[in-house]
Amino acid sequence: MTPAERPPELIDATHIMLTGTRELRQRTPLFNVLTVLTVAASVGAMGARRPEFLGLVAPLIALLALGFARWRPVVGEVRLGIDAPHLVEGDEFAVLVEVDGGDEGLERVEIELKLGERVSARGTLRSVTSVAAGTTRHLAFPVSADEWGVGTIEQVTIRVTDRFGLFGGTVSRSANVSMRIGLAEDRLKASLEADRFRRVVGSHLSSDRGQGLEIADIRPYLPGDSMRDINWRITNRRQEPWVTLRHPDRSATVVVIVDAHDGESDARSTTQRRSVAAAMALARGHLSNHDPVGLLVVGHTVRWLPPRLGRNQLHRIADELISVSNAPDASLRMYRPPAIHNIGKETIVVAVTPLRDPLMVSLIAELRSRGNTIAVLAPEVEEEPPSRIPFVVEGRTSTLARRLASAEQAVGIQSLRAHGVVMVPWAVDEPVTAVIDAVRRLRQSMRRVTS
Amino acid sequence: MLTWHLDRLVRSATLCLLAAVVITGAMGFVIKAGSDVSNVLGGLLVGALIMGVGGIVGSMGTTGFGALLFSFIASLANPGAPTLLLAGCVVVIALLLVDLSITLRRAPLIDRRVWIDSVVNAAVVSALGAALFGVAWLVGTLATWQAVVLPFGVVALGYAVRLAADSHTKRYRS
Repeated sequence: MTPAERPPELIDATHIMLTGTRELRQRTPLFNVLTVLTVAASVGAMGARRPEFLGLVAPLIALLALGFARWRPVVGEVRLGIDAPHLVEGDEFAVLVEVDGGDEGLERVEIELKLGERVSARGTLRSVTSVAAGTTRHLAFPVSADEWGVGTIEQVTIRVTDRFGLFGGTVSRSANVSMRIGLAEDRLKASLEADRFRRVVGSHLSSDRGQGLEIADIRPYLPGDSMRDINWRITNRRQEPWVTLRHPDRSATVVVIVDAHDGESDARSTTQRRSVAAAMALARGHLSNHDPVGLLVVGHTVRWLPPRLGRNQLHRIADELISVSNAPDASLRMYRPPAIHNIGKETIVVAVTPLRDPLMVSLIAELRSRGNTIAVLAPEVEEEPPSRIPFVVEGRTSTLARRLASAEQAVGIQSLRAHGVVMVPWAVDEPVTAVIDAVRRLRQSMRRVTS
Repeated sequence: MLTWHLDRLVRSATLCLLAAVVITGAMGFVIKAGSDVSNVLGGLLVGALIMGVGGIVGSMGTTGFGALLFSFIASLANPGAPTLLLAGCVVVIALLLVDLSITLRRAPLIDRRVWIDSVVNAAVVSALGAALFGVAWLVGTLATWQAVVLPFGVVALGYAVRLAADSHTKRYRS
């Protein structure tokens, strides 16, 4: 086999054993129909004493006899994987299925895939094939990665019958194949090159208002210029003092905090996805302005990415946020992250959180008390649809608990506002750019008031 | 996308179903041609159509009912032994085609070996059926055997079913 003919290697393969599967040892409807027809026609022929009627029944008997003679227990295995280790949005890849025929072969096999979120089929997801004994059949189903996140293949359905379709059955198994879909390179480039986010995200105060690193111009020394600005090389050449002028360094370190706590219901899961989208937009915007951006994910998991610059940092942030968007609801308890000590006092912090957990409120309050500039985007949670089950009466305890939690949340928000935290509620139908713009305007107005 | 829809419409499942209805319908005309019983063709065509409907809805039970009706009316038409043998072969092939059309619904990728196997199956079943019928006809038309063949036939049929069931059970347990 030449390298060109060699089938691509399966990545993250899932194995499904067909050998010994009871579901594949059933009689099919075709067998039942043939049996009924054979018995009816045979009895009719004998009852009417008309041997020519056996002409009708002879092929049916032949088919049944062949079916019994050739029946073998199903032996085989199906392996499932993908052909690309790294995917980005818009990529087309193949879901590869290898059907191993075992010692007896599989005379008719149907494979059907069911895709999960973020991926879609580029053709049919069904295949009917036949696998000879001792060989392996390779199937490829074209699929495209539609959206950044973790895509999944939810289910694979395998139907195996014998050559005549008389015996066999169907098994459906969870595929357990997932793939991480990264952001497309052109989107990354666009977000890092364009300056449009500056208008949306807004200008922020520089952490260092003095000299930047970027050289703007040189000119002769004037009284009042700092001695540190003297350009000694040019001064030496021109035999008079010259100074270097620099652009002011307007970059600021930004840390985005994402509350990964929600997700136990559909509405909250949607809120979490919006939080992740907002965090990604913030990170892109600030990185496009050459601001170091860090990420702190808190909730059932704590993840900390120190502030850095560049496209690689955006990739890292996207990777971390992919994990958040698909995090299991392992725990409802939020833990205080130790990483907050790594957040500098000059750092601008933007938290995306519905502030449902008191620990999140205390975390933001602690950062604010250390002098950090903080803005909170609070995505509003979509109202849960009313229960479809009639006559379900909510317990008094749960009603009280909900009211208590709501009051606690309101107190927390009020307390943060009192400490100078910019609070921006984010309605369900409001675009993320509009709400980030609102943060900028509110922060500027608060700065005017305080100055 | 349009070509995919056209492909889905005209290939595989639809073609198999169409072939099943066409060959049973054509067989109806052949039976009518060799029969002097009136009003046979309508019943045969109804049987063929019921088989087709069974294929459309994906129900082998409905298809089986259509095949039973077709066979019953074909036997009433009394067309002669070779025609009945041909009718039996057509019914079996139609059943295999309907089963294949149910398998091939929603336009899957189809391996060429599936088609080859289906053609071979139809040919082998028809040939074996004809041979089986030849033996049965020979025995059934012998004057001396005619009186005893029916009870022996019943016993032989029952014994054959028993043997087949035993064989299946042994393999199942293994």
